[in-house]
Amino acid sequence: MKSLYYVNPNSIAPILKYPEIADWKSMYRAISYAVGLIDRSNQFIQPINTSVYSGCNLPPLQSQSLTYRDCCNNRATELWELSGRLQKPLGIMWSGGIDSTRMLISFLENYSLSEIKDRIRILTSYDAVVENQEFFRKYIAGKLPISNSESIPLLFDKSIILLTGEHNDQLFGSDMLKSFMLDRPDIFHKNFSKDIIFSYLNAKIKIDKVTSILIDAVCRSASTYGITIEKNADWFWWWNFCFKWQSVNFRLMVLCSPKLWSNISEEFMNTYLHHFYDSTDFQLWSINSQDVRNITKWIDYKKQAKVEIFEFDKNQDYLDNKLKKPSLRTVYVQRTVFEGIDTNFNIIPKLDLADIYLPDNEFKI
Amino acid sequence: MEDILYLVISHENFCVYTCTTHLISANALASSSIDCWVRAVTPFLNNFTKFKSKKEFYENVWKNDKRSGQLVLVDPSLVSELWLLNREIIKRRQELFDIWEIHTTNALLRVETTKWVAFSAVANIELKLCKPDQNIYSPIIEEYAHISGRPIEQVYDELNLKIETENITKFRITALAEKFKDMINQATTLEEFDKIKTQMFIEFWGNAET
Repeated sequence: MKSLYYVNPNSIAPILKYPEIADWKSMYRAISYAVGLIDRSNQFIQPINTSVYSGCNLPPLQSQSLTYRDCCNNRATELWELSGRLQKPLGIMWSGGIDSTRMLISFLENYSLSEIKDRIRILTSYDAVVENQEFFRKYIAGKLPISNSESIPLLFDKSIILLTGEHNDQLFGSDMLKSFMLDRPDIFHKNFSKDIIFSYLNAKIKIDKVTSILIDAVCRSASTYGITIEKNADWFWWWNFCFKWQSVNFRLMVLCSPKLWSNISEEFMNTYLHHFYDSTDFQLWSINSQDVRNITKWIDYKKQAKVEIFEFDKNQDYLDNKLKKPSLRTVYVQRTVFEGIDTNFNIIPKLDLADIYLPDNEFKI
Repeated sequence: MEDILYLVISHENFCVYTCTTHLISANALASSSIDCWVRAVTPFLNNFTKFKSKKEFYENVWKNDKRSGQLVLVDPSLVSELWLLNREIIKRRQELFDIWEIHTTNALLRVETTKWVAFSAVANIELKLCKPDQNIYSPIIEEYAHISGRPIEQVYDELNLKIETENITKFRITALAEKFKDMINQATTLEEFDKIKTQMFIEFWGNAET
């Protein structure tokens, strides 16, 4: 039986032979059929055999005093040094959104424009200009080398170090909070209540048993790791932080051109593909910063990142009005993608359920 | 706007398999292995309004008379079993092509940004004449920058990104649309139609719900 580091449940069709697959798949109505959840605490047993990638392990639980800004600066230094060691430019994927703008500022604040010109290439598209035109015109256009991110499938050729703004969403909570907040603004930041989460999620999943399995799995995982789900917002955060992290970590690779699939390996993950917000410092900052996810207005989501963007670019409008947008959608939309990556980093274009089915699972009927 | 219907007509007997207001769908239907061609008709023809009602259209068999050009009724007993079977297949394919048209149109929305449809092609040629590292820009690009009131190197980068993004995206969407056009045109069973419908949603939108 194969074990997967990455799975796209979209393509897994329920079959009679494995009746619980239909229930399992219904769970994804609550998040998205394209997000294969993998519990980093290894508590949640799904009917698909998955493994936690060593690069996605939860950090040992401990307190930490670093600020978000400290984490950004440390990460920029680490990646800058990597670029120097490899003598390869950092290909910064800039979408104009909060995550990638804060990432880019970490370099603009710490290095001179002449150094950056030699060391950084901005991978972007016109959608980013639409999203944050002022920043593009002020800091990128005519100043920094640009490559079109629409050509991303061909950028897995090891000529650059790909750098994304992934995982900031997992640090701050979850964009899933948005619809929850809109539906139930009164109870969003109240103490955790399984009933409240249940009624919200079950409206999407529509199978009581499955909704309960999911809610309990997230609670069990948090408790095993040593986290207390105190508020409703904490439940969504842990779901995103612990269960979605690995899917986010791997998802860019699904865009890789088939002619470059042979480049995909553990070495590639460690060397040529990095996510700015993927560091132990950032994860511990998130774990120790419960206040950032207990917000009362959606506009305050990722406030710390927005404030630090404002301190750099003085764009009051962006600070006051910028909402978290699914910027990545335009990167993934209308692409032909593969469906899985196994633990040997083999690309699986089409998944066969028989190869990955795990009989002893929590959804068994 | 002129009221035009595109008829998909059988080579076998000149009877009309189906009609649609979308030329691209009509051409897509006509590109299958079922022999047919596309003809445009306007309200000036007899029975035109009957073609606009699915019920009235499919209750009868119609022909586009070659000599008069008019839309005329045909005795249903005169058409072959094969023709009737093909009409049923084309009817089902058309339902999928309606969805295909919506997916394609929605996918293209974000890259349809200029009123002048040839802008992208002309801008692409002009951008290729520029050498920004040597500060050389084509006269048209220089004037574009002058009108925008911004530095030319900034305008060049922005315009280049816009045109590249639009062209690559349109190319990709067209490739996806062509792929599904072929799949739809090979489908004959309900099971195949359902599978394609699901797959089309996943590949146009579902895989991006990350």
